[in-house]
Amino acid sequence: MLKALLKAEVIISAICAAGALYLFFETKTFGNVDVYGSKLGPGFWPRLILVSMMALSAGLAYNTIRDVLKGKIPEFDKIKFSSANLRFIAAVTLIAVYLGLLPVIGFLVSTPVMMIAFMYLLGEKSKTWIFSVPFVLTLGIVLVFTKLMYVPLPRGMGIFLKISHLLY
Amino acid sequence: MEIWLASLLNVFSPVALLLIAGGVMAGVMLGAIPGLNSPMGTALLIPFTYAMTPANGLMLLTAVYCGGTFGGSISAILFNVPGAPEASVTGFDGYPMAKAGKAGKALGIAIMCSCMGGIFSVIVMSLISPQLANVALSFSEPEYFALALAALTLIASLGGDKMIKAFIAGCIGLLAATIGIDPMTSVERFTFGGDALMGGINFIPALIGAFAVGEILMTAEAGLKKTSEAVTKVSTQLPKIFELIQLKWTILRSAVIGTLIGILPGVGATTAAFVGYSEAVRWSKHPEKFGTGIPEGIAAPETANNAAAGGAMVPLLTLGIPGSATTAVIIGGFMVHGMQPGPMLFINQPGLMYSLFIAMFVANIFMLFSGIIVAKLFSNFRKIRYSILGPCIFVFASVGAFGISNSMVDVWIMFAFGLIGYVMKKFDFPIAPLIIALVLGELAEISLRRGMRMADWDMSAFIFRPIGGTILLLTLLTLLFTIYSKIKKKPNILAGDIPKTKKS
Repeated sequence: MLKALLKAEVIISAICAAGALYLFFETKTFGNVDVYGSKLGPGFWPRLILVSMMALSAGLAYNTIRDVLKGKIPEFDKIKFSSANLRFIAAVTLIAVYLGLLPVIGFLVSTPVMMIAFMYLLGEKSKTWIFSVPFVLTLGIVLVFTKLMYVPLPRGMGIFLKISHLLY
Repeated sequence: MEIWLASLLNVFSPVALLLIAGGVMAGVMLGAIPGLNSPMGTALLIPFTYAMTPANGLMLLTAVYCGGTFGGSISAILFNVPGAPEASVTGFDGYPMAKAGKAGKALGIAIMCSCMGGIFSVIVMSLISPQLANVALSFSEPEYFALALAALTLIASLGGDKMIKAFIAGCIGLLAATIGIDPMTSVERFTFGGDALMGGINFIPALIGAFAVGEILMTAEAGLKKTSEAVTKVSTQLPKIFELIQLKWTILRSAVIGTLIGILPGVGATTAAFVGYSEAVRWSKHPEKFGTGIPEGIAAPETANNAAAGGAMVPLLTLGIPGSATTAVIIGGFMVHGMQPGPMLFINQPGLMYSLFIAMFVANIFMLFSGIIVAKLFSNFRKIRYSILGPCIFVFASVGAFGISNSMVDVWIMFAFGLIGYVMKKFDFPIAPLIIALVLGELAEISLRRGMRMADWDMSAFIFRPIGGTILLLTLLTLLFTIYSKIKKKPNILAGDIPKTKKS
């Protein structure tokens, strides 16, 4: 039974149901707006969805446990940490750090650095590609988006702001 | 007749043809690059039209509009990053087809069907614009709700044997659509006291995240072995006559749906693509194959969204009401030349109106050639190794998400949906229902609440209206049949399954 409860679908169902329950209580803060009274107020539609979500999550968990117990699907096996997991964590961290630093360092400087790191992470071997594509692409995007389309790409702060002013 | 001839001469002048060809090419390019789109392109071109004759200027803008509506499908098919919202659905089947080494064929179907959808709507628009505008005006909240609900029931069909997972994904999408300020009461919902989510969740960053960023994360985890499939030669192959004959009902149905939805003010080509796709699934003999890379899955949304582009011109020209974001910008083009779109335009400037109809027809023909050229250009990128292409796609995706409202919030939303997309892919949850629900959630909610309010909380107002009631009834019947046939594992008669009979 425990090995059925540890199946990913059951855990995801539990997370969905718990999240839906929390958000259901959050909808109580929406209150009833006088102009529409209590009928189909701002909380009506979210509550409808959240109740459905809780019911569906329960259904998915039940089906998964039943199928494991009947032997239709394999039961939970122990988690094996591999280099693949490490690559995934590194990719997520890299993206999060890049997005976090974009407003500080600016698009012009942070993008080539992120791209070089990402290419290494994905296993690119050619140094010519690694050290050319990020700079060409960044420059191209900066010119097209800022000069032609007037999209104000993040400039960064301090010295990075000054560097960005050299180009856009 | 004289006006038509004069308009033909007007359109077939060298300058006008050059402007239309250039406009279509620019539109396709703009549409194909994530972050740039046809409303942006038409807005930037308006000042240039000031120096042109009104007819030439407006022909240029409508050509950009036609090209831009198609362009987004190129990047959706090749990289799973739709260049424009209208192309969101095209990636559902276009990208799997490209991954299977049939990118050229997928692009060919998209180009041809876009062209056919566009031409269909232009013909309809030329013949019965005023009558169609009246039909559009008879649409009210119950009809909008029925339309949204009909498209949402597609989730049941898309889920295949994972129906519960599909519905959970749909619920997440519907819930995400409620985030932000409630349009009816201005109450903040799920913003948790901050202002980052007040504007709600734009579905483009969510879509880019769930599909493109999710794919990049999956590839990062799998390593480069998985990515050798990306290195293929792509050459656009237009569908052969017999292939088009096989797709005839899908194309015709989507063209009609797209034109009608395009006419409805404020609904637009994106919804048309979703509804066109959902109806293709509903009427297909093999609904379970949608999402795996089949021609119908590309033909339906591409025909519908381009038909909607023409349809959206109907309320603009006949009533002065924009049917989409780009037609709202095109109003600016009229105003630059001192004209106000509306019924009087047909009386005061009939030549201009007919010139626009013909120009849109020609623009759709030019789209065939422009589409092939731009697709060829973009498909070269597919030959690049994924270890180089992946980071490039991510940068384009980030800039595309940022460019929507010049806000980092959209980029973070893209990343968050990237993680959601990764988890969903990893644990076999279909992603399409999430996006469909996110796009149609607001339309469904607001039309239901507003409609109920208008009807003084009487549900019968939704059921007993001829158009809305019929759509609701058909939706309910097909939904019940889909669920019943999946629970009982019986052939879905409505979906075209043939019951097995005992051999005698």
